[in-house]
Amino acid sequence: MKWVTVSDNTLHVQERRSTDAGGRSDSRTPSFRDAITPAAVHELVFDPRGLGSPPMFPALVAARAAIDANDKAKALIWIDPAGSLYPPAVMAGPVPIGEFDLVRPTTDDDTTWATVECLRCKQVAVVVSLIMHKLSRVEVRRLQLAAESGGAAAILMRPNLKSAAIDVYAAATRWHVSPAPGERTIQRWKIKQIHGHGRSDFLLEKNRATGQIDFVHPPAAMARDPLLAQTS
Amino acid sequence: MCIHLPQWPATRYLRRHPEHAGSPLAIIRSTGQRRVVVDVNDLAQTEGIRPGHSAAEARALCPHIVNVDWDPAADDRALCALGRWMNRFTPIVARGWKDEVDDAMPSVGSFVGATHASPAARASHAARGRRMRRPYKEPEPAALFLDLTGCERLFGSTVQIARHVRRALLRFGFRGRLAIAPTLGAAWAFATSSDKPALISTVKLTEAIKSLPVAALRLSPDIVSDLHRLGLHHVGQLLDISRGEFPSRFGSEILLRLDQLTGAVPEPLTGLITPAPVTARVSFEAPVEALENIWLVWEKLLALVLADLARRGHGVRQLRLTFTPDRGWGKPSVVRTIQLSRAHRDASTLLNLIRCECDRVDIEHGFTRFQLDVPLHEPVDESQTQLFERQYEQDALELEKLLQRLRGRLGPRTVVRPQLVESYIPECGWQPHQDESPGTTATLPHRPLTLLPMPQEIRVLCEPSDDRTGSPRQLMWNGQVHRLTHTVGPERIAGEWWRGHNRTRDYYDAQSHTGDRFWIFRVLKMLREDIAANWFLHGAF
Repeated sequence: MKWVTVSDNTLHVQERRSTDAGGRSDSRTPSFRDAITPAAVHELVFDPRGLGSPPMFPALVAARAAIDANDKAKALIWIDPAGSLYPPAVMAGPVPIGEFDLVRPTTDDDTTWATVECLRCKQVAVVVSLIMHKLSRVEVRRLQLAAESGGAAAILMRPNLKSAAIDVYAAATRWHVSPAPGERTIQRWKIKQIHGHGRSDFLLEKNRATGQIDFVHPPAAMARDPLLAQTS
Repeated sequence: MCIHLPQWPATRYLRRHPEHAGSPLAIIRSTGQRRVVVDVNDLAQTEGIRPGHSAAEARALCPHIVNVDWDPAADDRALCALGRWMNRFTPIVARGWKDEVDDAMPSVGSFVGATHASPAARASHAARGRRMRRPYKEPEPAALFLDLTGCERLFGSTVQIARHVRRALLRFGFRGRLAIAPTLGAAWAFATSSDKPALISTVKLTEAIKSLPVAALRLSPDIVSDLHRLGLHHVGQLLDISRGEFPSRFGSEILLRLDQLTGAVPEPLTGLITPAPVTARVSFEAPVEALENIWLVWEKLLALVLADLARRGHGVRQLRLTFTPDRGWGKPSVVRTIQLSRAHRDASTLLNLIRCECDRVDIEHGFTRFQLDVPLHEPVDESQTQLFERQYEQDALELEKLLQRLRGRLGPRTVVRPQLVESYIPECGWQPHQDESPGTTATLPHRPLTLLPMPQEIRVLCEPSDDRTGSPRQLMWNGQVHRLTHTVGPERIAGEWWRGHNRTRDYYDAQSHTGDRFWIFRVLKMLREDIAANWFLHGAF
């Protein structure tokens, strides 16, 4: 387990791990591990302001969790209408996926259609899709039914638009993902569950030097911390 | 008859790209870190560039040389196409020869070299070791062999055939060396050893081969250089030596080649196989306008095509549909191509794909002629699809069918399976998967998941430094200011100058105060005596 404290406008992380023999993080730390279930839709909501790039890395970690949770199929399909995914980083990055299929539709309708088609296939474990447009009630339901019939997990990256309050969704879990201040070699994301069982909050850490990925308990201080609070 | 085509890769490239005909050209092949010249044209040869030089040496010898990546598959296709054209002279046209020497050789070496090897065998074993370590391997020589037995009557005489072939090669723009001889080995030897066409009859063969150089014997380069060291330069000298002397010193290779030269060991030609096209078509007097009827037409045509393929044991890899409207409308035919990622012979799958294509065709006036071609088909493994594991097989096919459906609606380039490519330039680090080339599995440096299709110019404030190479401190993009708290870098990526990409980029992994991580780079450029830097945003982690 790690404890994060804040002083002098920087985060300090103290290693206090109650790890198992394998050196992995504490199993009590909340993570995507049990939350990203097969045959369901999961949404990562991100803020399109700031850099505005979708949370590709959290989506990749969630996809890996979904592949591990699925005992039948292992295929990953990434639907990337923006055309900005860099496939080598998926294939040989810190979360190795190996081979996957990349779909780059050009219109909003095609994006939704391709996502539904991929979810229906029984050989697909997870479909990661960037959906920047607003979904109708029918489309949302269609996505959910497709995931249920095919058995794949859908990881949808959706922007947190002004109209998000009235935006419809039919997801098993929804997560608000935002970048959090990191260190020189550590990049962090603050991940807050906004829908689904558990309501867990945690920090996702990626170490660029060692390639290690950690799920970190949010400190109690985080809620009061102005530095982390301003990013949420 | 042997047609030897020297400088084939360069000649083929120049035929396709005539704009480079006036400049020196080098065909380059990348082997790991090295870039080696495989072939050159005449202009480059006069500059002193030879196959085996490195790309940097070639550029040093001739600064304005044109470098082209070697495409062995295209060379091979072109040679086969030329071979098919040569079918007008004889039904049997072979490309190169089937060699069993290479398969047999290592086993000899491993048997002898292990325990009680003679010095010569050990030496040749070591030579083979040298050969294996050597990174540069010569491409296979381009040659076509025509079996003219019995064909001379159609053209008058063999000399007439040679004249026709020579004229045809000149017309195509190829430089070929011709030789007609009773054996394959002799034809090859005479074609490669002189520029003049040679016609050797069976009677003269024994006498004529004596003056051939040993290099024309299709021996490995190490053996040829060993023979030269021993003072053996001509085949006649080899024939004078007793046959028992060779195997202990050089292995069985020399004797085999000599026997093939004289005809003592037969060497059959393996002809190019030209498969008959798989096609079916139907014409109507009145145009077919209803979509259901068009589907029915395709169903019938598909059944014909699949029956043909079933006889060959093949499955469809590519389908071409041609819709021809009635001539009165004066409209051109509509051609649609369906690509499949593996061979299929399942009628319902194929029919679904054809229906998807039909939906996108404008059928306002109907069509009178339908043609279904299968330009690409492959053997299909059908042993398991018939009986027990049908269900299992169909599950495995499901992903294939999904990808085909996606390709059908979104287009073939939109649905790809990425494959890693060894390249310094991040944008060139991957390509859509191709069946022929296995991808690299090299470890990748730290790279962002989001890479903008085109780097965006940004404004950056740097730490003060003399040569403008300080770390970035603040960047402005999209009207927003991002204060950078941490930067990792620079990682210098030099452009691949041989592709005309000569800008060096200094990449930084920069993190803003809000936690966004940018991948930005700087390009230095000289403005008179001042150094200016341009910054670009290329990705996000």
